[in-house]
Amino acid sequence: MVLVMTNKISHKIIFGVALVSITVIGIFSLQTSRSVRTALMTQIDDTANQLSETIKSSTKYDMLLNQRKHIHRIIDTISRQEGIEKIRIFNKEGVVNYSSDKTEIGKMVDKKAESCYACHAANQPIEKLPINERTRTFVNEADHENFGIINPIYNEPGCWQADCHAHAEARKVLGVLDVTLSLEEVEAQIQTTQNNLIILACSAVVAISFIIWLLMKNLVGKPVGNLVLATNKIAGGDLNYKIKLKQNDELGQLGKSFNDMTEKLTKAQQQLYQSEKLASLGRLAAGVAHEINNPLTGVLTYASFLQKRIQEPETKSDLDVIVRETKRCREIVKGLLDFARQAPPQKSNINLNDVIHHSLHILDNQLCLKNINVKTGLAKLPNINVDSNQIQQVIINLLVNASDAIGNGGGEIKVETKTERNDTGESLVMSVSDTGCGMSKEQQSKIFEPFFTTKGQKGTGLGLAVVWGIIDKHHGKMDVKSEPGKGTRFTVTLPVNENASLIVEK
Amino acid sequence: MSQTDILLVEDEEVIISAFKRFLKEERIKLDAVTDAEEAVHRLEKKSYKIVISDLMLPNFSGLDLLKVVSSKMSKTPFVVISGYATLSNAIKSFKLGAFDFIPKPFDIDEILGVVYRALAFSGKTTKHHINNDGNKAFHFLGCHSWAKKESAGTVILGLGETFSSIRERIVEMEFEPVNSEVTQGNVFLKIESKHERLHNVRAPFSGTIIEINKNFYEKPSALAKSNLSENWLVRMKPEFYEGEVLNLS
Repeated sequence: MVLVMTNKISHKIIFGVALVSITVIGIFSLQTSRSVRTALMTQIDDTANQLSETIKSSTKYDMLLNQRKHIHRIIDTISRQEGIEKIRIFNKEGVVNYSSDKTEIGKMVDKKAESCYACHAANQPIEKLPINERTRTFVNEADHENFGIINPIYNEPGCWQADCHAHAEARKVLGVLDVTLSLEEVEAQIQTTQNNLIILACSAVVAISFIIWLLMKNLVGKPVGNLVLATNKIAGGDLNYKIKLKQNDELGQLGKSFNDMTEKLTKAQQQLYQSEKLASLGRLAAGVAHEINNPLTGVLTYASFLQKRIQEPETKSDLDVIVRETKRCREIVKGLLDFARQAPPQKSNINLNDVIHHSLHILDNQLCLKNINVKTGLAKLPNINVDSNQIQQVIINLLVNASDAIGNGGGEIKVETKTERNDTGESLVMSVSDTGCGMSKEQQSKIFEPFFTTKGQKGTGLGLAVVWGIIDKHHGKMDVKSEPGKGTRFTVTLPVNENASLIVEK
Repeated sequence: MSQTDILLVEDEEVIISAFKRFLKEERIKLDAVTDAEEAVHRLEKKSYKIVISDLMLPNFSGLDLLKVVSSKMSKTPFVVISGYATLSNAIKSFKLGAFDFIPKPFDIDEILGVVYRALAFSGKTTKHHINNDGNKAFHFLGCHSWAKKESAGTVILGLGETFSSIRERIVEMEFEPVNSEVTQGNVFLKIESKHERLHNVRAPFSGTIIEINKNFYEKPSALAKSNLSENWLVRMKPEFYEGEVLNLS
């Protein structure tokens, strides 16, 4: 599945890039072969013109002397040069007088033929022909492209004054020199250029595709594969799975925020789990407590009734135990009900620091007696809408726990506050740290559970569960860090905004 | 109409039998019914000095019964006993005219304490209305305890008329200590009267106790000579005065 997916993306990109490069290279090749052709044609044009003029001037003298044999020889010699297809001269009437192709001599050329067409297109032949119109390209019988240039031979005083008096003075044009060059080589050159370009284009596309495939595989395919694997793991419930991406690019960032997300998700899930557990335990506790209160009433009234009536000391002391222990049951049930019935917070606008001062004041004597030194580091805090009674309960609970952890040997408790800003808004952070006995990892994972206590018979195991419930109802969070033998630090985070918005709704 | 001392409304057999057992020793007569409807029938047929009722009853609740009793028989003290003793149930009960609110489970000293106080109070008109002659500074948690707001923003708390029968018999008073927090409806004072009877006094306001009246703290018998509604026992700094005052009469 991973492979198919990455292949799909890279295939799409490779296909797109190939299409673009083929188009671009195609247009470029077309343009290049065109300009090569134009350059070559210009060169041919110049060469042909020069050649034509050379033939004309080299035969001129023999013309004047009417040395036809010489003319034939010159034409033959020149026409043997490579690339020259044919050289011929025909007179005004179209009779071929000289030609490198001996079979043509004496034959009439069709005026509609391509060599004549330039001047004879209209019925009346033109006598002056611009240079650029003298050339033509055409395909011969052997299917080769040829380049033809005609050069009119004009009547000059030397012609009509010559001894042979072959031409009348009134004639303007005496004949036409027609030189035909083969374009085979030019064609071959253009073909070579085109072939080279096609090879270049193909190898470029292959190379680009390969590089893209390689990059996609390493930069996208593998990380995406990792992400897919992680998503599947997390969907399967393994919230501790972490993506290991070393790269710093967008996918690296994605991996990082994915890890962040799972971390937050884990915390949120734990909180939710804890909340739900506490809520259902609360309901259970309330139900059990209510049911148990009736039989307890029976036991307590009968036992205390008997306790009053019995004079015999041994039985009386037995009854004392029953009454005492039933009353203890009563206290436990009361604690349970208090825990179950954490009333919805009655919020008022207070400053957390004031509540801390107040709580410390209440515990002043107790802490002093235990030789505990209290240090405070309270930052300036904005007011917050919370149930000050409940928050005080939280603080007192944490302080009492801290002092219990320290024991009678003396130590230090540190209460600190600060504000913290993250993506969800501003929060107040309060921490209570002690130099007490600390807790093991296993203990830490259980301390918010009802009925878990590290204090043995002295604790009910409800204190921190209640504290947790209060903080949860204020949309806050609780965290604990502890090391056995070194101490414990509880951190409470209360969001400012959420607790502010609730009061607005009121 | 014949008169019996107590009508007990309770659906739990063991509690009825416990009441019968210890009230027999005290020579107090008791009728017991298991639901509120039956209680209403009994109250129509017969006269009772006091009614003791559970809150959670089949059909209609103890609070409904309390409404009926306090509107028709305002001189019959109504004692609520509840296994689901929330503070709001306590406050609600007092506002509806309950004589006292006793959470289950209770021991013999607590229940006899309230039974004797209620029997002594039976037939009397509640007096706090007389004291409340337009003086809005006074607020009452039923006839159980009172609070008066002082100009400094503090409130003083005192015992209501339901304790008048024991004021000469107080042996000991146990206050919640200074600086401690008290919640509305929670116990702030435990009184032991003669014969080891116990009485819990509930606070009309939440707040921090800032002073305990030394006159009574050191010498509870001084209460005997004073008018209950004029002598304060505890001074507190109320926490939610404005909101909680609505729960009081």
